[in-house]
Amino acid sequence: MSHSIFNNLNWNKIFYSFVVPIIILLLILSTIGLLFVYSTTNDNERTFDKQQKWFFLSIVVFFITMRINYKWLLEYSFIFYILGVVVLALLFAVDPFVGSTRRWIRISQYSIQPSEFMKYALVLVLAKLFSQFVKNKDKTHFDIIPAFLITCVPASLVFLQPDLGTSLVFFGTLFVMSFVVGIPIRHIILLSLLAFSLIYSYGLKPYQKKRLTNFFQPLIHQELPRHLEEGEMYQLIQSLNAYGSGGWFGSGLKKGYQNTNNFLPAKKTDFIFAIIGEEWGFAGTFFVIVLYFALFSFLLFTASSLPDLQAQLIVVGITAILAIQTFINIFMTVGLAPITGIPLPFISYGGSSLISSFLGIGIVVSLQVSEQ
Amino acid sequence: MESIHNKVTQLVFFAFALSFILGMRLFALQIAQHDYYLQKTLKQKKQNKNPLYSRKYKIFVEKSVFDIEIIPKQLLNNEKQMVKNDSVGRLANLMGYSEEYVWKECLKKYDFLRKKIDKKVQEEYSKGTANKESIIKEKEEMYLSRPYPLFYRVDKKVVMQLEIAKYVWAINNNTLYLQDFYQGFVIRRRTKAHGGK
Repeated sequence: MSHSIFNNLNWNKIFYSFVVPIIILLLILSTIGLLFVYSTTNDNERTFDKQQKWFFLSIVVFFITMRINYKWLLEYSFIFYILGVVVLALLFAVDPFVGSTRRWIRISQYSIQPSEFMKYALVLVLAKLFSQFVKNKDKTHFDIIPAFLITCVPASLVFLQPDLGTSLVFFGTLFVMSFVVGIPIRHIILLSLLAFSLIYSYGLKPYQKKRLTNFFQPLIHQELPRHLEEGEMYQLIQSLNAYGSGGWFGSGLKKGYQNTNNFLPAKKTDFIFAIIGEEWGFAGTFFVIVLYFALFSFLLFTASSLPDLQAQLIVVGITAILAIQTFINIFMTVGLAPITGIPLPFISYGGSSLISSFLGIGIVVSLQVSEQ
Repeated sequence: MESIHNKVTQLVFFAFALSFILGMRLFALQIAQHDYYLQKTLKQKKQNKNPLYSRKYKIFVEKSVFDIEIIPKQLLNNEKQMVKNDSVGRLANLMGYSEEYVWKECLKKYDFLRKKIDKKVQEEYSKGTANKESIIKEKEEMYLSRPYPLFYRVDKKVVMQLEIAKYVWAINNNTLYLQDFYQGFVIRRRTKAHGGK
């Protein structure tokens, strides 16, 4: 049976569900994001203007996605998935270099990162597969191998871009969804260790291996060798300086010493949380973490409240994407995880990340308020 | 369905545990080790994007090193307290330090001198040769009017920029005069042979 593309909204559900708090949290986080993109923008840059445009576009995308029928999305999930894989593969063929990576498609003055959207296509496909897995009475744990292979294809393409952080998000999402459908956690850990050892031995470039090994360097009150202090660990050290100089309430917006003097690389994107730490202090970082935790909790409670297994899995998958990105990003900036390029959802500068995050939340809201 | 609810609850607890770890780590970084990181941050120098070059200057500085010295008296107000003026900000900007750091160094130097003056006043006053007011006045004049090194072996580009910009012609009430843009700070040239810090 073919499903219609748009669903009928039950507006009463909006007020008797987690939709309102989710939207409020979303707007607060995005506003914080806009404030800090503004704070990190120099006078001669146009990044803040661009981010404003992306924000308004994201809201439009959110309202459109909210109306889309998830059954229709699931019906065409494999097409979205294949389309996504083809676009990721095309990046290598058409060679649209930005920096030394192949992550973006350039359209006029804007760049789009297809891997950000691929995550959601993967969630749809996995939700479909896992729901069949749960319904199958003669299932064995080997039945999740297709799901693993389906994740491996886009994850490998993204890994080759090279974008280690995003490929980890793909696997992380797979593991969270596997956990929810009842795959024992020891199997997931075993599989993770196997995948990690293979990737570390054969997949990582020397600089990526160095990031991992440098992660184990003692950082606190220790003088590091000059080549580490000014070279490989420069970014992390500057990030810790930014956090540490924040104190209780920080130096104020656009007044951070690390920010205004451009000591911290990638301060608009991957390391924007360190700037929040510097300019809003512990109060600000704690507040943002509470907001994120509340958002993820509401999303998971939403999953729990839905009647349909496929819908539940979609929400869990989307929450996993956002939560994994958030925790990896913040953990790396505070020195609790190796540095990988991964943006902070709703806050970091970047159109693809912002639009795709709004798209994800739009799908969740659609599942919550649809008549079905 | 029941299992999904349990798994979701476990995931919420897991997210809480990760948030808690983050909160503790941030508390350690931002509150417990705040002073250490603040010092480390403020000591960093800005990158000088517009260096000045002069062939003559380069030959000249080959033989010398320069310190920036403070004359505390020029930064005192009528109540004999150190007052931050625009020169501190200009100097900080020129050297690539934060204004707070430069001011902190100035205060450190002044506190050191103030303790020295107090000690000397006590010594002379105990001998009973003069009254206390005149001894204080004499010692303050002696110690606070001199330049004292504040920053050693300063970057030569900074020295040149400071020398160029220190005195600027200004007009006040139809009177042309030289305005000191770095009031309270001077440059001292030392030959490398004499070492120093």
